[in-house]
Amino acid sequence: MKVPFEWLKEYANTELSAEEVAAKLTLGGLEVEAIEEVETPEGKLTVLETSPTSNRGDLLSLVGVAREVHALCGAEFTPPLVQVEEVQEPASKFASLEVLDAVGCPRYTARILLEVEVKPSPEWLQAKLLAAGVRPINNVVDVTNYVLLELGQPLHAFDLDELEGAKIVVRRAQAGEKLETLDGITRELDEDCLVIADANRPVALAGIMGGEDSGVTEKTTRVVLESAHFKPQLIRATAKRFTMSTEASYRFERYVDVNGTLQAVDRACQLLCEIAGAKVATGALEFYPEPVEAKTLELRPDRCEQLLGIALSPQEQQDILEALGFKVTPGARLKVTVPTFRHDITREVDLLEELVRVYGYDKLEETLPAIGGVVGGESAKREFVNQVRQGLAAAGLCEMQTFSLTSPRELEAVKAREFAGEAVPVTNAMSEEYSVLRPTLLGGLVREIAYNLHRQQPEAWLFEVDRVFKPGASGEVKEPVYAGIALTGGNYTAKWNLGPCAESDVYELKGIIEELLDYLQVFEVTFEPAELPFARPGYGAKVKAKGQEVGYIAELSDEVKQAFEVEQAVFVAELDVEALFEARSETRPYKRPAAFPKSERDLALVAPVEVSCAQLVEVVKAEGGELLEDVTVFDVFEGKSLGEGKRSLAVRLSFRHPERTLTEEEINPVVERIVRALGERYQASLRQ
Amino acid sequence: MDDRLKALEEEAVAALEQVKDQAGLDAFKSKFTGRKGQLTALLRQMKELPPEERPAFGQAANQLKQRLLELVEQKAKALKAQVKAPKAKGGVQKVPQTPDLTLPGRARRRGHLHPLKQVMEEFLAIFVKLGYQVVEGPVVEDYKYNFDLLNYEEGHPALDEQESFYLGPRTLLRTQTSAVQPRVMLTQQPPLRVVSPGRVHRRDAVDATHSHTFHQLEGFAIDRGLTFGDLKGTLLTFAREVFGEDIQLRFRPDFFPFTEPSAEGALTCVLCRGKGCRVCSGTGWIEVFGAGMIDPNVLSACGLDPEEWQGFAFGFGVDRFAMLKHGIEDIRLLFSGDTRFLEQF
Repeated sequence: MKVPFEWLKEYANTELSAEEVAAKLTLGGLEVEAIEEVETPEGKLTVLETSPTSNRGDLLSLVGVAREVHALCGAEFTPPLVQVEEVQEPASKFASLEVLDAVGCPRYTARILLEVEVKPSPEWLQAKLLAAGVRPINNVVDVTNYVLLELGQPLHAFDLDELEGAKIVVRRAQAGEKLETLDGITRELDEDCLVIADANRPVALAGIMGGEDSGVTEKTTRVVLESAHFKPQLIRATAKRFTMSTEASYRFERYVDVNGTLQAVDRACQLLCEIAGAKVATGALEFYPEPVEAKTLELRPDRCEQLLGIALSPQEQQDILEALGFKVTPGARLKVTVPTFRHDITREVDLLEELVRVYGYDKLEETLPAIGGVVGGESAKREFVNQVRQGLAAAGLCEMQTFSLTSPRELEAVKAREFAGEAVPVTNAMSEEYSVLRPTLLGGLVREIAYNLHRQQPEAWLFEVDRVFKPGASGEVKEPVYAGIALTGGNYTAKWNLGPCAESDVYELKGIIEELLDYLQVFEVTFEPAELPFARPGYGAKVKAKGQEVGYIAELSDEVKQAFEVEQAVFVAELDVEALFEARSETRPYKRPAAFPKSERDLALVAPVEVSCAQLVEVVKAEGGELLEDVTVFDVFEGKSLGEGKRSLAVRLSFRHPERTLTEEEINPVVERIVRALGERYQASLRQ
Repeated sequence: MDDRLKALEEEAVAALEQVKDQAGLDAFKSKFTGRKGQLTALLRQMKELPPEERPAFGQAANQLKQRLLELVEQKAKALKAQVKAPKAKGGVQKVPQTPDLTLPGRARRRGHLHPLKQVMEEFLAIFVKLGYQVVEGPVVEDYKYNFDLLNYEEGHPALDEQESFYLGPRTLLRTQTSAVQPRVMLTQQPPLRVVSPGRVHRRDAVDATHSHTFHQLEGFAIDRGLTFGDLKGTLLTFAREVFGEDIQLRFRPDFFPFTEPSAEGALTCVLCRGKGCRVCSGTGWIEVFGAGMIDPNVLSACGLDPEEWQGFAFGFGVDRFAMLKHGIEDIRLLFSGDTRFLEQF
């Protein structure tokens, strides 16, 4: 709200400067965002731009702000004196009032003004409005705005002669009823909308905006001045629905004092008598069946120290509350009567906030609570998730994070439905781009790899560890943490003389995963070749730990790469971190380093290409028995010299006995046994 | 010469040919020529021979040892030469013939942890030291935890700042990590010290300073006799731990439905140290924390007696901290995989 400083001083004549007042208000809870100079017919005026919190509707008025200035700066509080001179004729002679929705409109007050001369307002009034950011229109409308700013009560002026039947009816709209409001837009209404109507039709959208053809014009002489109280939630719902926000609706949403309607309308009448020659009919049209009374709360003075840590005497507490307009009766417990304009104060704790607010948050001493039987720490699972991140960073990958919200089109491009299931949609998405929750990290990985490749960055080793979203069996959404990995290009700081070995490939990705899982103490890991919908044929495998599936590795298919306009090879993996957590071992097995030397034998095994390395190694291990310590592959060769459909796999066997040096006589039969078994099982032979 | 020596010589020569690296050579030495090697074993057996045969055997054994040691030396030289100039496939030498240590170093690049997650973990570690346990809540949240139990009134303007993405009538993407408060209060007994990090979502368009997705860190403590001063002290301790001892904390009133009294906490601008700069709009302060004493309505709704238990809560956006720390100007970079960005951290 724009608060003209000189105008404010009419109600709280502080000697402090605008800057000093702004600082006090800000530290007291009414943020002053800026201090501006505004050009008006009366010269430059200083304006404080305030931003009250949404619970303080009472601060949306100059008098409300003045009350704060009084409490925070000590200036005398001088609200306007309101007096109305009435003519002999009663208001009820000119118009009638009927409220059909007392819930939506608990109070409706109206005054009738006669012999009104509609014309431009005097300069002093225009200047004040301009300083407050309100455009002057005519004296009647200007006065309603003036009172809105001064007291915070929205008013509306109807041309009495435009109200059919001289009736004011507050009711719900009927479905199909239309109303053209002052912004020139015609809206179709229904039962959810509260309207002000005459005998036949709606003439205003209650608490939000008046109608076009019942407003005050130059021809108007007789005015109905409305000063009402509407239910905040109702006004808010209607304003939101029609995406309207007016000075009136903004205030009604934040609560306007139900007991302030009469004073406000009287203040307007007083001003219109002065500047429009208006005559005010006797009495008001009034609907207020259930008057709201000020509540009285009890305040235990020692709660101040207990909750806030500040020692204020009962007298100090009383002084602060009285400065804010509360009535206080002293005693062991202070009896505090809360004025109805402070709708936000309903409990003792709310009073305590008032105390510390005025006392000053800045004076509050910083203390640290005693450690009281609590131990800090993280869950084992969260530590594990961080280990995954650290393990991947240690393998040379860059951690990234991408949005959980993604687009169905992108998921489609990585065939997400076929391996990760349906994505959970958001019902009120802002765009297709962010309309579903990701069920896999793959889309973001490929998108960001493509992002790098499209910017002359041919090397990117990326990972993300975060949640994916999966629909559960009973409608709930599960949020497991996944680790997604994508490699393209190599990751050497320099590549000179490395040749093709500098580039990544699917075996490097596999090695990274193997090392990661070992670091995580996930043992008994196998990779089972599998056809994955996004993988290049033959270049996909499921990762299993202790037989349970925990993820996949793959090279992207040409189709997926084309969808992202990528040409070079991209290798991807995804791991279910929750599943890894379940599969991990608590301890790491330890073996004493061997004291006796090992004996090595190299075998070049030629076997049909269909026979996998894993199959051969499995036989080697089974036949090698206890003496065989390790089998490593050191060469893979395919060539015409081997014959069609053959491959040579060179393996090194390490034999070792824990308690002595092995002899040839012990090793040779084992090697022979291995070679024989390989021949029988897989037609493997030793390369000549 | 003794047959046994001959056999050993043949075996040794054959074995040495198979040796391809230093490890193999070491194994060879220990097998044949070492203190516990086969040759030594044979020499030990010398005393079993008739005395007249001993000198000849000894001489022959020593000759063999000499020969093997020579062969080992030759092999060692050959291996060294091999290490010097291994040939990569295709015939390019990995290491050039002429040494030039000004050539670029050639290592695997190191990995990088994301700047936001680094900051988040740093913050959590501080609170863990202060006795807080880390608890995470779901992103897909029930309206009940995100709003109802946090004392939000239906139709209150406070909801304006919390425009939400809905999955169903009462299911949404949480707009604040505060939703974890009631979840913990309903399942754990005080005393409690909890911090909760995570993603939150608000229906906001994405630009340089806005994002529908960002990260918050929520913290709260419930105990007997916790005060507003304890809250202020906790946040000041945290801020100084992160930014240094010269940092000040400014508290001023604010409004949140789930705290009363509520405060906004501002810190001395970490860039200009309070002098005033572009980042703090010349004020010398940056607004960081939303905080307050947990509202009695929240405690009651979660089954805790507000007369017995008192608590404080605080929360703040972490993305902004990461941006401030590194001078990152665009929040969208935090959600990108651009290696030019990620490799700087």
